[in-house]
Amino acid sequence: MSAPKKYLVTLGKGGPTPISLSFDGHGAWKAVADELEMSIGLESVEGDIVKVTVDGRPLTLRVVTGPDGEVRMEKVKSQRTGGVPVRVRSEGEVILGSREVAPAPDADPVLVAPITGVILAVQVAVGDSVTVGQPMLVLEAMKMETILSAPRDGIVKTVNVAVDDRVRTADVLIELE
Amino acid sequence: MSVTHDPSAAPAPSPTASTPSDAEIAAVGEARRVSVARARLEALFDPGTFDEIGDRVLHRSTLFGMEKKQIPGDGVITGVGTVDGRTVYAFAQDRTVLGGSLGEAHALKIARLQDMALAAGAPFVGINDSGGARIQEGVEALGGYGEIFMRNVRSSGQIPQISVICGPCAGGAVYSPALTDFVFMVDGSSYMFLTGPKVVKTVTFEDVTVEELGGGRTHSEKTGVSHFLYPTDLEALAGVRKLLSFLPSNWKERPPVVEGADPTDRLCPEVLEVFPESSRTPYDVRGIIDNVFDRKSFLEVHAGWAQNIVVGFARLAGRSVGVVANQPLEQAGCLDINASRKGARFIRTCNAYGIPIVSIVDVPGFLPGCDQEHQGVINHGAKLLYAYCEATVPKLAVITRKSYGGAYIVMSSKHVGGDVNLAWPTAQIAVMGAKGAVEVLFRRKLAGEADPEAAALEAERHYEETFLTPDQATGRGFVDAVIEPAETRRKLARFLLRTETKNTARPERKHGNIPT
Repeated sequence: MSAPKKYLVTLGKGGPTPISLSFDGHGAWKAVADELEMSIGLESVEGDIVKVTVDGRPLTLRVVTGPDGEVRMEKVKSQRTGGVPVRVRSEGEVILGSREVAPAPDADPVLVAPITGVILAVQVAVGDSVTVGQPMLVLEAMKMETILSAPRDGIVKTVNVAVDDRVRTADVLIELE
Repeated sequence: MSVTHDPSAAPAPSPTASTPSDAEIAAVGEARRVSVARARLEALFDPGTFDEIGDRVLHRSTLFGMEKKQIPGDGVITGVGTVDGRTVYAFAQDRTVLGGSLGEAHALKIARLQDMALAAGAPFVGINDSGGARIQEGVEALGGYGEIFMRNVRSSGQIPQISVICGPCAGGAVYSPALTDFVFMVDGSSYMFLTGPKVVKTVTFEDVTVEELGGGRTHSEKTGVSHFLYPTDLEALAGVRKLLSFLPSNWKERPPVVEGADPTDRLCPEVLEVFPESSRTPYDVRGIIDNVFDRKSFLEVHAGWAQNIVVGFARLAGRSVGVVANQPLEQAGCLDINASRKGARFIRTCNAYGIPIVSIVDVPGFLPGCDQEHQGVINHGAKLLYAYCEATVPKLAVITRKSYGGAYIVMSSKHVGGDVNLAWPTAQIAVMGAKGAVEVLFRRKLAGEADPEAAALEAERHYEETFLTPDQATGRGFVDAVIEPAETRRKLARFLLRTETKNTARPERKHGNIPT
């Protein structure tokens, strides 16, 4: 018998169930889920119709890929349509799909000039509450406007520039609280 | 301004790649303790296609008690399988075996696989997760790295080489990835540096974390060492599969063609929704790329670094192309040192593997300033120029707006071997903008005028009419045709198909000498 392969199977909206699958070398697999143990035999695959035996009982399934890439299965004589979504992932996929990343540090609360230029517009004032990505300044550099946006959510603490001011790369233009 | 690179906005992961819930991780239980190296290879290859080579290899070290630590395979899994049906050779270091440390036997397994990949003309993927050189083996371990580096360089430009960093990669180990074509990193779990935080602290008194010194974000945003950053191993490996779909198996072959996904003659009027009326207003050039190339095909390379230029692979008429585009959203779209390095590296990669280059040009010039000049923008900018001149693949370009000065020449112009040079009616091609030009040309004349300001404005208007159109360039044949923006896709696709058989003889020499 081959070393068992482990999978996580999610049926419908239920929780994931670990299943181990091992090939017995004689055309059948042994599936173990919780306390249950089943012998699965594969009879035939024709298009999306899969014929198997479960502990000797024949079962015909239609297996299709659903809209989100999940596998959907239904019994072929079933009255129901659509089938049960089944998500199968190998143990490796689950391990490799988990994040180890630490939460991203908050962006700096200061807005610095990315390029040397002239301030064309100031769109916020001290005390304004801003959200990340909100335009705060327009800078002209190299005959182009550059829109400078809030690096994070916050309240404007200082505005160090006014229209027509010349600023240099890395100058602090606005500070947030 | 910063357009923060959001790794989650990276190329769509496969449906299986979504982050699992806590319950699912719990269900796996202790699984992290088992070898993830094999799981990584399974995620890279088509199911059931991986065949291992050398799983019983043993090291022959007898120093420091190593004779008692024999684990078959010596900490690295090597083998061959298929990705989308095409042969790919790969290794994965296994940190659960002797820390994944690299000794002689471990290194020679990798080196032998490199020889096999090169002989077979198949891509080579290295999955790095290693504590570094195996100290107990001394010079044998160091020599092992050298054997790998030598083969990295020998394979360079012959077969695509891709490095995936899934854990630590420090000291000499960093140089193998650096010698390959592409480096993938995983956010939060991989890092690369020559010397770690402890040594840094004793030498320079800098207090720095592993993540700050050489984490995925550092290398994807600050250094450009990493080309791709993904949140998880699984997504990174799906990214490798996607990247391979744009690359040939070796330099003599062509990349796979995926026809019929998007009609070649489709008009793309949507580009005008992205493109502003005022020539001073910034826009995101990726909005143009998305509409011109085959839908959803764009795979951005170096998305977080030197964002004033955008490079990446896309499909056009199903063919793999390399896209190089100025990004007006960042630094006014100027070329600078890092943009030049990024563009040059990408163009040389495309040229090496026979992938045509499509440039989308809107560039006000090179970024002025002491900072750039003193860091050698002359040499770095020359790299981009060198790469465009050197490339013999089909080179297509569209000037959408500004193309000024030296940057005009560099960006795939006719003069540096552009095969097809198109322009939108909004194109402006000149040595410099109107204001600066008038100051130089008419300084004395204007000083003598009764109303110098009005005269200057009149001179600027005349200059703009003369140069801030594509007319002078079309008259000289430096721009082949002025096209409507909505025709961009159709025209580029047709010219691509008609230039893809291009065959340029290369001058005989040992090798060129690119500025560094």
